[in-house]
Amino acid sequence: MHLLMICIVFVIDFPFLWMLFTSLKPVGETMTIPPTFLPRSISWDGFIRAVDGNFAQYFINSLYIALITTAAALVLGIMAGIGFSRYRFRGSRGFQLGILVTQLFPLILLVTPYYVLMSRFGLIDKHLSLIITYCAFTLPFCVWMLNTYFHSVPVDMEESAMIDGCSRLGAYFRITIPLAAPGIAATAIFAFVLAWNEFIFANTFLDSAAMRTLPIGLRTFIGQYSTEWNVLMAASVITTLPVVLMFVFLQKHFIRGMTSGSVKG
Amino acid sequence: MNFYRLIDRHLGKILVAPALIGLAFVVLYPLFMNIFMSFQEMKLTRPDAHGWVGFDNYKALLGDPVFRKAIGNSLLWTVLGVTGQLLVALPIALLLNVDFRGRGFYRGALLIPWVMPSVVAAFTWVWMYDGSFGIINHILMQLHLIEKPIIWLGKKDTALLAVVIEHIWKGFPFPMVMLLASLQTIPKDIYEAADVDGASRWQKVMRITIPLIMPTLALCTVFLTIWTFNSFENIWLMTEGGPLNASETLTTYVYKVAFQSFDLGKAASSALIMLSMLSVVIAIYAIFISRRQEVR
Repeated sequence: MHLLMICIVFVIDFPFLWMLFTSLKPVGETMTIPPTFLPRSISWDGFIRAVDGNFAQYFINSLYIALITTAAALVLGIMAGIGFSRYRFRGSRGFQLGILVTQLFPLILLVTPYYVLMSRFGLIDKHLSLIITYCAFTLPFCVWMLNTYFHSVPVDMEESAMIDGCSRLGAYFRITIPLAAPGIAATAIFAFVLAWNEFIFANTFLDSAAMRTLPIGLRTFIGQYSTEWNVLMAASVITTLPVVLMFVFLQKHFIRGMTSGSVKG
Repeated sequence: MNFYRLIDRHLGKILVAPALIGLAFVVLYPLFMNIFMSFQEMKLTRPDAHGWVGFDNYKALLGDPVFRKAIGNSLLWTVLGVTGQLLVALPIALLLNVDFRGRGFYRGALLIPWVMPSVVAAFTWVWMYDGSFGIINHILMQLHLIEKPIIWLGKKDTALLAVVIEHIWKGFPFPMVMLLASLQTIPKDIYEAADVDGASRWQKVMRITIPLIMPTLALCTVFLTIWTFNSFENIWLMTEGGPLNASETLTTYVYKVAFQSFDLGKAASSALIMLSMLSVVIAIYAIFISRRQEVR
């Protein structure tokens, strides 16, 4: 059984490993026929050349855009999650369905109107345009995830806190939110990963080199005639690392958050 | 004191309001903007020509052979992509459902494709598919499955398929996790009862497992269909819709019309046609799912 699983994991993770190995090869070794699997000699040249130039700037850009987006999405998402799970309004079911409907939309549908909107506000080539956009389209899924998670936190918890003299808002802060921590963690990871990996809007809204995020910066490594694959793969490794690390350490929470709402019982 | 009372009374609405405003921004504004633009002539290359043109944009679309090719490709792409992801996810989920030591590690390792940034995944696969130094050609030749290297992303016949494979690879962990969670809620006693009645392995899967995970399977299919139909980044980064529109889907088409031809009116109309196609598919699913609920 273990043997079978190891084979499957090896096949599936092969592209990831291939990316790693290529990044550690000297440029000459990437162009051998037949290609080598493991690098014959480890060369950090790919990484050195990848980080040269604007790359550090791209990394910082991606990082702070992703962090701000995550913070904003969490705040608004938690508010809405508590609101939907604890209060009945007219049409609240309709709104929740509406949130699911937003998942339907091709991002392409959003690109043209948002571009027009952002250029009217002079936000083209500014990071704010991305932050607003990312918040906007992460929010529905975050609200949905947090909503299903907050549903599973029993209301009695808040009520007993309120009997003890806590205000409603205070109860939310001290009881409900800490209890929903795994779901919140899962949502935070989701929002961060989405903002970190995003390509379409970053490509459309940003112009100047200094403003670029990592996915766009990565594309600049593809040359018109030939590409230095070890450099591109090295840059790719750097781009992937934060996200993979997050998942390795937090995957249990993420999976729990993702599946808790959809599986009955 | 009154202020706090006011907040307390309307707390529910206050909490929900920002999210709803965001929702309107994400749904209503683009929708209406697109509808509006689709009936206008809005070419950035000819700023003087603007105004209401009725259905001209739509007529132009239906007359465009590339658009028709894009529709066909999008449908093919979606069918292959969704089926592929499910065919990979289900058996692996069944395997992971067996209680063995360290399966948490394997599950985590199998999430890696989903976690990788799509740009990184796309470029890695472009590199693997490379005609001269790519590893895929090398392995296939070593296995004597092909004789010469194939330029996967550069040939009409293989381009779409090559990107579909990347898409399946990238996307399968999501249904895998969902199906696994669903499998784990099936109580063991049912299987034991079936064993007492002498059911075979195959019968147990077909009569117990599949029906019980049907709701999750249906939900996964809906999401996968939406995401696959709407996918843009991998196709764009790997082939840009080429060669010669061989892998042109509706998403790449809309993007090209908007940002290469700068015809925003036509782009809006094609985006709306995309949305209607998707809505029809989802409506069919919704009807299918609700019928099943009734039978129960």
